[in-house]
Amino acid sequence: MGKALSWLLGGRKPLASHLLLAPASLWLIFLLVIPAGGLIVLSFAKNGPYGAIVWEFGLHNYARAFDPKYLPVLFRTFAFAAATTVVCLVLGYPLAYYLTFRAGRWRNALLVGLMVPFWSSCLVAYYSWMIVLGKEGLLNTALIRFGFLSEPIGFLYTPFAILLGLVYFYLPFTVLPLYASLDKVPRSVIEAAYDLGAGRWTAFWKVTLPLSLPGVVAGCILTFIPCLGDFLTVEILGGPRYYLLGNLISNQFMMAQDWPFGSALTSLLLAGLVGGLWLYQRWEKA
Amino acid sequence: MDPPESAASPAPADYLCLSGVSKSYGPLTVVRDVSLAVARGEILTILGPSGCGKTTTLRIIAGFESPDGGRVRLSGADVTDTPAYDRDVHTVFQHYALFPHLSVADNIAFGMRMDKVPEDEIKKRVPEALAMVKLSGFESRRIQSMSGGQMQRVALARAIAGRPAVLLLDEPLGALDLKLRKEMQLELKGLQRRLGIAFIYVTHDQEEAMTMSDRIAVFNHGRIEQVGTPGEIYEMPKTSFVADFIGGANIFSAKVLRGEPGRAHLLLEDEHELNVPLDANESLPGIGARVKVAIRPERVKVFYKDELPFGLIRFDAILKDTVFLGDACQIYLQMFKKNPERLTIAWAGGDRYAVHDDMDVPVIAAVDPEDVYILERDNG
Amino acid sequence: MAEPVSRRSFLKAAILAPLMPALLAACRRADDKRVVNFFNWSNYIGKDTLPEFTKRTGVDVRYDLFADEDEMFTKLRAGARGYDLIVVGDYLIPRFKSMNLIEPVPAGTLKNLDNLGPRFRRPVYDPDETTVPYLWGTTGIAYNKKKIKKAPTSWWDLWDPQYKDRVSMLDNVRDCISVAMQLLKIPQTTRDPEDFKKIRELLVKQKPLVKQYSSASYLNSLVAGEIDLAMTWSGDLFQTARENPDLDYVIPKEGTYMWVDCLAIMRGSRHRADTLRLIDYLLEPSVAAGIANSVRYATPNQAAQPEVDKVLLKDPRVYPTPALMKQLQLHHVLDSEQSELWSQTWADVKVA
Repeated sequence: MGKALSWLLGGRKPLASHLLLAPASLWLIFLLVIPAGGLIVLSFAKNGPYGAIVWEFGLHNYARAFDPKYLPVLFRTFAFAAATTVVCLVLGYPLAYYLTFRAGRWRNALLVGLMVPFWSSCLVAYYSWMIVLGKEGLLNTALIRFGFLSEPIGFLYTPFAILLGLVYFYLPFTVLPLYASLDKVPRSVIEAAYDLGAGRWTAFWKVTLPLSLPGVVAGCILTFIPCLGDFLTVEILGGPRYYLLGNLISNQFMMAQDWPFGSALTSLLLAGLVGGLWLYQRWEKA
Repeated sequence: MDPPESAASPAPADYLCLSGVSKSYGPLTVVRDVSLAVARGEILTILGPSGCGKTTTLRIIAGFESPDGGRVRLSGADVTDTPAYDRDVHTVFQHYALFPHLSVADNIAFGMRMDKVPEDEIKKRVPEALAMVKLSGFESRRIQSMSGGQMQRVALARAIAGRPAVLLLDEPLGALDLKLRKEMQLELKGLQRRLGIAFIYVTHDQEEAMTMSDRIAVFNHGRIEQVGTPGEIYEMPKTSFVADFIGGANIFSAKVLRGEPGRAHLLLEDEHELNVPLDANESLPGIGARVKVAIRPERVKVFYKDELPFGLIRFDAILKDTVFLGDACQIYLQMFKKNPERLTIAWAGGDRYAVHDDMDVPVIAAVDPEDVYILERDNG
Repeated sequence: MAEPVSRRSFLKAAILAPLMPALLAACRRADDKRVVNFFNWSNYIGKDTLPEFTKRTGVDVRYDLFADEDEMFTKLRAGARGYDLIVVGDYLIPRFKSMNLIEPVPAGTLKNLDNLGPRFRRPVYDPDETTVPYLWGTTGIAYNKKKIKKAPTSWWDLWDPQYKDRVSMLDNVRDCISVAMQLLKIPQTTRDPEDFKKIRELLVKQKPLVKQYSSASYLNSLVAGEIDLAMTWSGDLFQTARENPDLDYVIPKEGTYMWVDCLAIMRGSRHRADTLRLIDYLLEPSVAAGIANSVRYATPNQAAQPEVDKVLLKDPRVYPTPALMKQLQLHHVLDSEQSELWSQTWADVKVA
């Protein structure tokens, strides 16, 4: 019996290692593979009256997905994702540099601090941003108190608020690969640069930065790609003027009651994400 | 016992001078009051076991560490507070530290570009440097595709291409195999002679130090125990540490019985009375004091028959063990009845003395009184 | 070493073991307990309404809230079980019926059904009285009297560029599409895709002015001053006006629709008897009046009129005059094709 199971699961490894993998595999299969598979199947179905699903299959949903009226959403999504990536890089690189080279004893504490927003519910985080950014919120009150403003500015429901929320959430995605890459730069190589006459800035520019480029690329990709699917930030901080691809999809499910179309859009987004990551892996190996 | 050689005031021939340099990390003092002078064009080796402060001293010379006390002078100018990138000192790192994203040529050209040497000059000097390390034609090779020995040479070429005043080498041959290491030692020596640059070489391998150096500074626990030529260090060790570290020695305990000008009467290990000559500048601690005494293994001669040449000190001994090493034999003798565990090591050439296979054979050990060195006070 | 550990774990097991059946029994008992699971809009019931019910009948009411009709529908459609009683907007009832999500109230079981005004009996959106009307209201414009000098009079005021970034619209397909249709004078019975294209364009034209599309949180924004002009439901505005008396409500001159929110029993409810009891309780005159007075919406319960707050009764914004009542229309009952056109158009507006 054990032998048969072993063969089924791939033969050469002992049964014990398959059993060790079982909880994780079952988790992935039931909570990821099966739902994703169901979604893809649903994407070919038709939408019936009041949103009931009619199991007749065709490519009509995918055809609709390429309707030019969705182009503004696509552009907006790419623009926000690109802007988030750039801001995260500009903020994240110095942060990663500090963590690697200057933080010393505080390194682990700072890393934990970086991850904390990640662990707490992002809903809670975004609602707190509303309190900070609102017209009667902390930011406006402080700016008026210190005389920078005479009247409160509406920070909420603007691209600024959306960008803030996105950067807040995705910063760890950028910093961690950067940190890992910078950490791998051998200190002796940097010392060699000093030794040969390179000042601090020259050594950074000519040695540290080029050697950290893999981390920069990884950080950008790991930020850009998930950011494409984001919808919660806009939902709470942005308002419908700036709805992104993620919102388009969630609307199909929650509002338009057109689950098959929503599934088709999701499948396309998934294909894009997986494709992008696959391309990145190919590039990395080269 | 003489104090270690110091150079508190730099002599005109000195090129690099450390005076009273010390460095601590927290409660741990790594370098203690080190004073050293390196002449232009010499190879000085800093020799010592792991953790003795030699790498830290080198890093202080390079400018990567700032000493807590003392000054560093290069060609008369005080460079203690000058950062590494402004010092005319280049380092060959232990693990090469080559720039992985640059080609061999760019690695070598790096320092020159920092010094704003014109490009056509660089184009000339890079192949020159490669030729000096016997790597001609490697200009466009990538670092990842090279062997350890090749990378070592590139690191060397990179450091000398800029014609620094002093070259620091931090155990550069440590990662190479024995044969390659011996080849490189001779190559390095030849290279230095041709370039005329002062080399400061750090190693824990005493054989390497003896092969390469003009002078050796022996470090122990952050202090210099002795500075001298290889011959001086070997023949006239000042402390038991130096005696044992270089060449290995038999270190014994002895009591001073009485002294006369130029000679000392000692009781070796509470058993044997010796009468040994003193060196010109050697002074004897008072009567009754205990001292450490060293005898080099190769100076202990083993005889199977009582046919001693005249003038040697004679010991009755029992042969306990022999180790055949190919070009020599290590012989373990039991010379002291009061301390039978205290074995004496003697070296013998391949065929000079017949080696018996029997153990516990009574033999006669003999030592020339000249070969008995009195070291420091025995406080243990 | 093994001995003390095994002794300890044995003790643990010995103590826990008899507790297990007790725990299981407690769980079962919790299920058998008399309870009704009620899913309703936020701020849509009196403070004491449900506690009074529990005190009188001993039936516990577990009260769950939603703030978005579409979200509620999706949740229920996706299979959220466990609700017995829900509140559904009139235009959603055909959809719920067709997806088999609600059970009809059995005829003759409710003794207080006749308390309802005749206008609310056998309504056009639910002729077989599967549901029971709960509260009704109108959709109009809320504005901040201090910030907006000239009171709005028309739906077009919500399209006025001078109010850029200070406007909010309800996040609700029925209300927004209806307004667009009124302004474009398109009948609600249309199926013409061209009509819907015009509707979409009109709403998209408004988008740069709209700070928020929201059905509940906009009220906070009104109070906080983030927005000054909002499309609103009557009672919500009056509730908020208690916090900020600068807020006022206007029914635009183009007219508006009235809508009715109804109580419905979810299919598969396991507490049907008690649910019906609750519905009957909510139909009692004093209870209905209490709710209406508290949430400031109008009650469809005629028998409750004597106990309704006189101030509210006289306020034409809450209880419109008979002349205005004649003008108020219920939304046209959409069939599935129209419903889909409405939903798609709205979804397109939101992502434009």
